[in-house]
Amino acid sequence: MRTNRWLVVVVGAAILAACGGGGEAGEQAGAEGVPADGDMLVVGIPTDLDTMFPPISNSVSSSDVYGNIYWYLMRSEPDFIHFRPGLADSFAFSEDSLQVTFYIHPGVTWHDGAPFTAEDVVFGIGVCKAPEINYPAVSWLDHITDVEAVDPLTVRFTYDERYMYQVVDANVCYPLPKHILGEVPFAEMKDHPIGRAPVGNGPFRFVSWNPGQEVVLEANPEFVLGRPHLNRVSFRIIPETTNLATQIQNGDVDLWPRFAPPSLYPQFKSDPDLVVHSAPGRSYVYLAWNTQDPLFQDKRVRQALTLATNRQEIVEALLYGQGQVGTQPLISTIWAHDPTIQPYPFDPDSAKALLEAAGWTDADGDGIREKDGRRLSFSISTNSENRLRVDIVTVLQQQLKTVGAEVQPDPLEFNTFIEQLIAKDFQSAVAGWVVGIKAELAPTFGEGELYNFTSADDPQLQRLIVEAELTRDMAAAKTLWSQAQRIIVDEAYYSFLFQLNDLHAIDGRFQNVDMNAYGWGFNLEEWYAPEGRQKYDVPVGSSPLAKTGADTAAPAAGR
Amino acid sequence: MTGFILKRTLLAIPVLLGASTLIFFLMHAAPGDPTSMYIRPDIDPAVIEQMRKNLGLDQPVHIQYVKWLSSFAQGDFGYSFSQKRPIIDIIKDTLPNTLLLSTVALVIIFALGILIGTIQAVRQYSWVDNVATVGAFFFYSMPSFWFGLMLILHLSYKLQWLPASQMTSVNFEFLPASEQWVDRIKHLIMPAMALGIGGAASIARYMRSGMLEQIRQDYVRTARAKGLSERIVIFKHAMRNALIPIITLLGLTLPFLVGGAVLIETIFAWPGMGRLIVQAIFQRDYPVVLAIAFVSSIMVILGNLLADILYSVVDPRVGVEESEA
Repeated sequence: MRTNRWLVVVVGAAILAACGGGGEAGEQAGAEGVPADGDMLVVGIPTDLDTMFPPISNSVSSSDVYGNIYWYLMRSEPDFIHFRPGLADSFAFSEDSLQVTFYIHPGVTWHDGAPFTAEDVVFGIGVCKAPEINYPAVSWLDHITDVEAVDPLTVRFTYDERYMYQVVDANVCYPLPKHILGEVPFAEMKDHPIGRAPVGNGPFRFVSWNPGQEVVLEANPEFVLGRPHLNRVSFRIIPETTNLATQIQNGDVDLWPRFAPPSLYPQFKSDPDLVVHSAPGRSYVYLAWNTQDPLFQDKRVRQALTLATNRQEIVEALLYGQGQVGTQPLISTIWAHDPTIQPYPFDPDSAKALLEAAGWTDADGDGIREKDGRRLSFSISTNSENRLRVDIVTVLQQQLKTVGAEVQPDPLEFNTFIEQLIAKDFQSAVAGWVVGIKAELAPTFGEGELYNFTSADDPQLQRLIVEAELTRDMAAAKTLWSQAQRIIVDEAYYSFLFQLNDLHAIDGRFQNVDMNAYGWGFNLEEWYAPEGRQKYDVPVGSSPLAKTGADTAAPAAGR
Repeated sequence: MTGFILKRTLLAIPVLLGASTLIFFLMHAAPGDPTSMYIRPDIDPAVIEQMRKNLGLDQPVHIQYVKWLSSFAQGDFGYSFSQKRPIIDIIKDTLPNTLLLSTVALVIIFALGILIGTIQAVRQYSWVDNVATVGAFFFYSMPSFWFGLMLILHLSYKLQWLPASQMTSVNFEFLPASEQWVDRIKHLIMPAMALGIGGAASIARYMRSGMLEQIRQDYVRTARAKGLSERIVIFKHAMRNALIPIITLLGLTLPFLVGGAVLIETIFAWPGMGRLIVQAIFQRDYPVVLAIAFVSSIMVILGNLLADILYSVVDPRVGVEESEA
């Protein structure tokens, strides 16, 4: 069973501890029926893939798909700092922690039959590091000084220092098939056919990609870690929300990952055929105050305007309750999140008192405060194609009016919006960040950084950010991150509005479905539809990589 | 005729060049560039800068224009930033789909429009005529995307008669060949209807008035007096003349189809050029926008040329040389 190989690893402390053999830790409560092979999962996705060559892809649709074709050595747990086995069974730190050695599971092959070896891992890192490739997360490889194939099943990473994300960084780049790409110059890799017909090493293998229509994967019957239960996964590209909503409700589509807008939540929830998963996601929405604007130089004004926003109401009304009121930039999916930081209460009276104290009074009785001849009147810009954010601005306009502030909504086209934020050519803005795995504040609050839209420059904050990043001890780092965040919250550079839940709707026949902050496909290889509830009778063996037609009904080895 | 086609083709060159140049500079004047989609706190701005360099976006716009134009003139459409593949491949994938949808819609527009318009004219002021008139106004004034959504809601969601999206079903490859054809046609019905119905309604109006005018002409009365059957009078004599203004509309309908396809292809997840250009504009994928605009312009120019040629076929009084004058 899988649990035998189940290792839990704390990254910073580099402690390996076996989680014990008993219990199906990953099993969802209420799974029904006996796991059975077969059936097809039809996934509705809003946009086509860009490429399935991981190092150059920048599309969520793509990673949703190729994440099942290509696998990492170790696979991330939902918290992103613990790992479960992937193509490697385990790993070990050297004495000085400057080296990490991964032990690859014997017998793993590429989908074309070639053996998967340590050389492929070395090759993958080399591709990601090549400047011609422009791998977006290349800076994650900065601390990796060397990758070495000790033997075909052992690969060793060497780092220039000991730090928290050594295992994370070793697993940011997918191993790539050296026997196919080894001779291809880096600059030509983007045109290699493997980008559109991938040859991977994971539980599912590629069948077809009909551009703009669908991408089809099927079970890899030879997957040495156990054949996935589903025979086929079809990703149907359906850009129009209403159409996709229609199809998931009439059963043509089985899964709509990350569905939006949240107004569909009650509708799907009441559909007896659907199961709706709602879990804290990796993005948050905030109201940024431009501290260079004369209106918002005084932090009391920023605090007061935060107190005046009823964020709970926004979560209830616009997210249908599927989110949490925001408290801090390191949201709940990040290990450095500090649950003791409380959100500003919704308190219009305190807000008014603070504004009075800051010198903003309504002398002429028109309902809008003024100070030194300036009215407390400003614009909130946002990107107009995001309906939710436009609605938020409208709600904020109403809420802020009650404390004597006048808001002009300013919806802008996305690129214009971003450009104005970067140029700091805005007063306030409703925007959002998708956050990564690591605790990072420098890009958004570091002085002089491109995405420091609010011009945050508190000297103590700047010191703490640098110090926290350099601190290798996890507990000590956590304290520093927490202190930095408290300053950000106190300074109210942002009014943290909410952290969005990821919403996924899936047909009820699928069992063992675990969806969390890692994403909807966290354990896709373990999903199944019990016999009797299976809908599609589709054989395995359509893949151009299938050896013969005899792949059908291969036994679920090792399960 | 050959000289006429040649002349028209040569005239099209400055039009295409002008349109492409205008689009090029408009696109580049808009804020942002293809690397905007990489703006995230965990991506180093230096990486984005390197990307812009690799894509040639760091050069002045006029240099980029000259480069683009020279490769374009050599038949190289360039490389898509967002799809990471040569644009010629993208066009090969999408153009046939758009042509299929547009052609079927065009057939619906003209077949349905001419048929209904003729019936209305022949049965003027009957209940058929009145119903069709109200219907025509209803469909003509309805936005095609809304009609498309209504089709999905009723035919696909409520009645479950037709599939709501894509060109084929999810189990297409496992269907027997005969059912594959049925499957394809089923997927084509709703988008083609949504795209064509408004046009059909307007053609019906033109056809009705054109027919009414012809029916009152002396030659029709003469034909009837000769004892010709009503069928021959209407379809052979009157219709041929009533069709002349309709041919002109053919040329005018093509740009409408290309534009309408943008919305319809998005709604029905039809993998054509219209849907592609919308994505490309939002992602600032300049070369894709330019290439698709270019192909669409050619389609429109060809359509107009075809209309002019047909014009001379239907109306012997009009030679192509004169129509050009």
